[in-house]
This record gives sequence, structure tokens and C-alpha cells, in this order.
Amino acid sequence: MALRDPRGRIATTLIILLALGALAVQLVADHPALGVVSLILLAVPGFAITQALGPRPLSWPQVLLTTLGTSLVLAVLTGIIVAISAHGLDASSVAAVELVALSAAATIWLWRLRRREVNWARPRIRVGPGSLLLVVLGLALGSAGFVVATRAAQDQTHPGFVQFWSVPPRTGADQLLGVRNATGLALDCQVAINRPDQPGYDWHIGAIDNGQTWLGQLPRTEVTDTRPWQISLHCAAPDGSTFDRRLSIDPPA
Amino acid sequence: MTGRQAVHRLSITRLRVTVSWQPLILASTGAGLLLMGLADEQARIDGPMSLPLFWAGILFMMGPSIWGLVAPTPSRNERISIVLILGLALYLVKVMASPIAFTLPDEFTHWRTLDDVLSSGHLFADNPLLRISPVFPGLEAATAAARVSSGLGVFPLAMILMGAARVVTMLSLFLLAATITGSGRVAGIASVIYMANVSFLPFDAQFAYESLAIPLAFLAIWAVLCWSRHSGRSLLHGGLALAAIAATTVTHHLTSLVLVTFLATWAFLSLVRYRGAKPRWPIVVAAAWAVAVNIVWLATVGGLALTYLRTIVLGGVDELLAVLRGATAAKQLFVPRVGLPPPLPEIVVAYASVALLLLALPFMLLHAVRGRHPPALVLVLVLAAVLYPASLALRFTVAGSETSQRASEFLFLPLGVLGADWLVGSRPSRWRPHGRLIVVLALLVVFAGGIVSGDPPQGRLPGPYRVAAEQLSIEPQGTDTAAWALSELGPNNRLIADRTNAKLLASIGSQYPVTSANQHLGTAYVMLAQTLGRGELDIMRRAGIRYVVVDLRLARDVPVYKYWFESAEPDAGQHTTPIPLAALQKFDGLRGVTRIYDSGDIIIYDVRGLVDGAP
Repeated sequence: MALRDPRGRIATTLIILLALGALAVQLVADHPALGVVSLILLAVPGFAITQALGPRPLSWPQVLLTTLGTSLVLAVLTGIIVAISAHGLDASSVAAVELVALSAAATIWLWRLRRREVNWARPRIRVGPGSLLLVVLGLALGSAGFVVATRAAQDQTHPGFVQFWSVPPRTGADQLLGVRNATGLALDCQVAINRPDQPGYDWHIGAIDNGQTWLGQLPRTEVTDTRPWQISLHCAAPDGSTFDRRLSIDPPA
Repeated sequence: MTGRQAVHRLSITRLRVTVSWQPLILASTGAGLLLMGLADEQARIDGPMSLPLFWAGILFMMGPSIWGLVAPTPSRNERISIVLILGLALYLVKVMASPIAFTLPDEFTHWRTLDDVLSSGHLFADNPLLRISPVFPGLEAATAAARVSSGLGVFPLAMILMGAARVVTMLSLFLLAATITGSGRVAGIASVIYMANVSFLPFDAQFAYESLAIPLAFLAIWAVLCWSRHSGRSLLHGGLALAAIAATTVTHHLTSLVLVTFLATWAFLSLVRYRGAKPRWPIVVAAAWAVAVNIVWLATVGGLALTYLRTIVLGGVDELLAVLRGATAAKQLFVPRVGLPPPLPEIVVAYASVALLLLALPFMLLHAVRGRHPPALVLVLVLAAVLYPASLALRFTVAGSETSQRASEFLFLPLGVLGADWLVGSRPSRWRPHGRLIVVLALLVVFAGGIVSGDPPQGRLPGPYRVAAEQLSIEPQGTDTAAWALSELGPNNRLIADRTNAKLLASIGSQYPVTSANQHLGTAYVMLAQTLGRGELDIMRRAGIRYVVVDLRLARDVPVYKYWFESAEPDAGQHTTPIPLAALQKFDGLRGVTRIYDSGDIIIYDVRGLVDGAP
């Protein structure tokens, strides 16, 4: 019996724990810290299927390829099947299909263990101090390169800009005027509204910090307002640069 | 290989340490990645050292790795490790060029399909950027399954998924070549030659359906071979083969058709050549399954693929025939539309790379079939390798360039296996080049030539904004405008925008840019016209346009890519002057048009009053 073999017991316990862990994590996957763990656990069915169905002996590259390959294939087919189904693709449907695959694989594996068809090859990894040093050096250099590239992408300077808009509301609320500062500088802004059939309307917004959005309600429309309103925005930065924007909208309903 | 050779170690006597191949190559690859990071940093500020640093990084990664793979001493495991390190490092080159967000055009296309799957839980929603994408949703289905299971963000998840796909590509390639030739040394070099295909570095590393379908197809071929070698008794390989074929079918049209052709030819040759001699039914079953699954998928949902592929492939063939007849001029290679051409040494290396492959091709084909009864699989590889020169001819056409590029990712599989077997295989060859240094240099030239032919310098590295320049046109003003559109306008508004803003608005903004590709309406003509006439207005009405997005930067320069809007625009590929500013500003002050958004360069007009008004 496989379960009399201590290695068989350990392996069986491990795969059951992994299966339960995979299911639990998939059902509470909203927690970001569990994301990576859950992703790794997605490879468990692939590994279980490889162990359950694979001929012996399999070399480590074959185990890695069949585990990763089966996991990818399972992910594609699982996604397609549950998305085509009436229930649709969500965490519970994906978890259910993965669990079915995992359970089937684990059952076959245990059956093969019982028939002593499974060999337990102990992987041997010998790493000398020189090799270890070079591995650490390579990983450090590669990581440094990645950090340099990422920092360069984050720090790349693009021309600053100001977004200025006014859109008829979709819900019957009052129409708003919006300004968003993405210049990297604090701005001092003012708005001028030119209503052809009414007196002009000047609006000093004041300071808008970088990344901040300002929203203001447009003045009420008079019955005599029929022609489009011309709205201009002028913003000045402490370094002397200015930003001018303009809109042309129908008088708000 | 003997046990003693298999544990061969390099001795660095002065340091009195003993190290194996992998750590040495890992260290040099790490140094290469650091240089690549510095190259990206330089490129983002338009620094002059970006290109030299890029090539230095490639040399650090490829040089020692190729040297190690060509050497006779490393064990098979060491060779696999080297191939994996190299494949992943080259994948990281792409990731490092855009490490914080999607930037490649195809990635936005598939992001839209993924977003639709995630928001609805179902497949086949219309994608305005590429209508064929939702019909082959394997990539998006897998990503969505992983997304709902893990809760990770789409971008990091996509990078992890593509990294896993790259590992599968390298392992299946190596193990396939090793199983065919019986040599780890041949398999290692075959993997390097495959990496020299023009699509390998950026194209097949992006978040796109082909990047997943190719590893699935290679996995399927390897699994079929193993299934056959185990006389059909390996459940793992049989199941994996059939499942991988099905997964390829629902992931990418062209790859699945190539896979069907490959398996069918292999099955046919197996039946003809090994009558009653070897177990061949697994190959026949796999081929029959591939044919059946493809027919079912194409007949039920994927019929659009046939039109799509016919347009792409026949367009190139028709143009090539016109070039041969003298009816049209051949496309000039390495001549950019704007800016500087690639440096002369790059052009020389690209031509040398192709020349080396063409020169070697007859010898590798002869070596494959000469003096033995070649297996059916080898014969399939020979037949496929013969297509390589024909694929090169398409490079001289505008329409066929893309087909040629796509073909390389399939044709370099036979070129790799046959070429490596000819170079270092155990069977002797009279015309084989001798000397490890010569082989290493030749492989370096072939690999570098693949990079040069694949993308111009501005396509390999990041950089400052440029007009209609694919990833170089992606910057915060465009992405923030797209996010604003979703927030303030709601999803799926029909609009007109240039190619870059259309990609952003359709993916980040969930809008519906109308083009001649998705609605057969020439909206680009509306944008390029100096004034809005009856014809343009008619197009807008028929397209149901609600918003027009104008990017004033299009008036500053000609497009780096072929066009501003789409391939069906007037004079696409032949623009010599920027769009006149008047054409972009023609909506200002028009009756029925309101200007609702202004971010300096990007203006959005609400044209509902114009489109819905009296004709």
C-alpha cells in the first residue's frame, strides 16, 4: 500500500494540502498578498497530472515542461469552458474545474502509488562556493538592470499637461467644469466663460496642486441663452510657464 | 556522452574554485541585462549610447552562451539550463523596455478582449481593434482564469504568463530537437538558431495570442513525438498532445493552421514510409484530432479567420507577383520613412545573416537526407526548411513583409534542428564548417541579423514621444485622456481617433473607434479632409459617430509607422508631409459640434448635433 510508504504518505498529504490551499486561496483571491501564492498553486494540477500519468523515469526538464505546459493548457481550456458555460467565468467556476482536474490526477496518482508504479527519484543538486558566488553575482546584476530600466521608465519626463473639460451629465445632475493638473507643478488657474447672450463670467479657481482635480458647477442657463458658450482656462506655474485651454459647449440644460 | 563528461567543470585555477557552465553564463547574462537596463535608460533620454549599450548587452548574453553550447563538454542538463537562462533573459529584454505598463500595439488589442471577458464572464464580444481577436480567445481565457484565481493585476499577470510561455517554448524546442537528433549539443544550438528568428525578441514576447500559441504548438509536437516513441502507451504525452492541439486551435488561427499542416504531413509521411514497421497511430490520431478540432472551431466561431488570413497572405503574394512582372517597384529594405536609417554595420550584419542561412541551407538539407533513411519527422522538417527562401522574397513587398516575419517563427524550427545537426551532429559531414570560433561567430551574426531585420532601432528600445511610432507614441497625456473618456463619457461610444489614441481609447477607455477594418467605413478620410463635405458627413452618419478625437501632434511630423489612422487611409506608407493643421482644426466652430475636452494636444469634439442634424 502506498500509504504505508512514508514518502507516499508525505506526498499524498502534501498534494491534498496543496489542493485545499489552492481552492481556499482561489476563493479569497481578493487579498493581494495571496495573488502570487495562488498563481503558483495554479501549477499544482499540472504537476499532479504529470506525476499521475507520466511514464517513468522523467528527467527534470521533462517534469518542468509537462508541469508548466499542462498548467498553461489547463488554464486555456478551463477559461474557455467556463466562459462558454451559462455560469460564466469567475473565481468559483475556475476553482471548481481546477479542483476536478486536481482530484482526478490525485486519484490516479494514488492508484499508481498503490501499484508501485511510481518511482521516487531524489533530486541531487551540488553547488560549489564559486558557482554560488557567480549565481548571486548574475542575479544581482540582472536585478540591477531591471531596477535601472524600471526607474528610467518611471522617471521618464513627458511634457506636463492640463485636462480641461465639461460634459453634459448622464444622470440629470448639474453640468460641471473639470480641471486636472498633470504638469508636475502647482498651478494658479482662472476660468473665463463667454456667454454670447449674457454678461461674461470670470472665475478664479486658485491653486491646483499637481495630480489634483478641480470640479466646479457651471452657472445657470438663462432662457435667452441659445448660442454656444466659449470657456477658456488660463493656468500659470511658479516657473513662469502658462497653460491655456478652451472649450465650446452648448448652454447647459 | 560519458558520465565523466556530463559532470565536466571549468577550473579557474587562480581562484582555486571550480564552477560549472551555468553560473558563468548566468553571471555574464546578468551583466548583459544590466547593460540592457542602461541602454533603456539612455534611450528614454535620446542618449547617443543607447544602441552601443544594447549591442554590448546582447553580446554579453549571447557570446558566452553560444560558446558554451557549441563546446562539446557541457552535459545535457547544463545545456538545457543555458538555453533556459538565455530564453528568459531575452524575454526580460522586452519586459525591461516597457516594465510598468503595456506599450506594444498588439498588447492593447488583447487587453481589450481580456477586459471584455473579465467584465462579462463570457467570450466573443466585439473588439473594435481586431475583430479576429475575440474569436481566438485562448490567451485571454487563460489570463482571465488566472486573474480571477489570483487577484493579481492584468499587467504583472500578463508578464508572468508570457514568461511561463517562454519557458515552455525553450524547453519544448530543446527536448524536441534532442529527441529527434539524440544530441543535447545539437538541441542547444538548434535553440539558439531558433532564437535568431526575426519575431523572437520583441514580437513573440508581447502579450498577444501568437506568443502563447507558439509554445503550445511546440509542446504539442514534442508530446506527439514522445507519445509515438512510447508506442502510444504514455497517457501523459497522449493527453498533453491532444489537449495542447485543442488549446492551440482556440488561441491563434495561423499557428493552429501551421500545426495542422505539420501534423498532417508528418502523419502522411509516416504512413507511407513506415508501413508496418513502427507505431504510427499516435501521429495519425494527433493529426486527425487537429483537423477535426480546427474544422469544428472554424465552422462554429472562427470563420472570420479564413478571410483574415487570405487577405494577409494573398496580399503579399499578389504584390510579389506584381514586383516580378515589373508592374510595381520592390520595397526598399532598411529605408525608414522618417529619421535615420539603421547604422551601416547593422545593415551589413542583417544581409550577412540571411546570406549565411541561405548558403548553409543546401548543405543542411543534403546532410539531413544523405546516407540514411530519414525519419518522417525529419522529412517534414526538410520540406518546411525549403520554404525559407520563398518567405524571404515576401520581404520585398509592403503587404508581404508581415507574412514573412510571421513565417520566420515557424520556419526557424526546421532551420534550427537541421542546421544544428549539420553543424555539430554526430553523423559526419564533408562540408561542415570547422573550428568552434567560426561556428560561434556565424551563430552570433545570424542572431544579430535576426534582431536587425525584426525591428529598426527605435522599435527595439523605448524613447521620447514620436508621431505615430507605435510604442514610442504611448505617453501619459494619451493614457489619461483614455481613462478620462471611460470615466466621463461611459463605455462603447463610437468615435474616430488616430491609431495610437484608438488603441488607448479602446483598451483603457473601453470606447469603440470606428475604422474601415471593423466597420468598412473610411473614417480616416474624414480626418484627413481639409473641410467637412457631404461625403465625410455621410461616413460619420453611417458610422454613428458620437465623438471625434483630434491629436494636434499629428500636424508636427510624418508618421514613423506607415500611417496615422489605418492602412486604408489615403497615401498610407507614402506620407511625406504632416497632416495640415487646418484638417485637424476643421471641427472648431462647426454648427452642431461642441468642444468638450482639451488637454493641450488632444481635443475631443462631441459631434452628435452634427451627425444627428438635418442633412
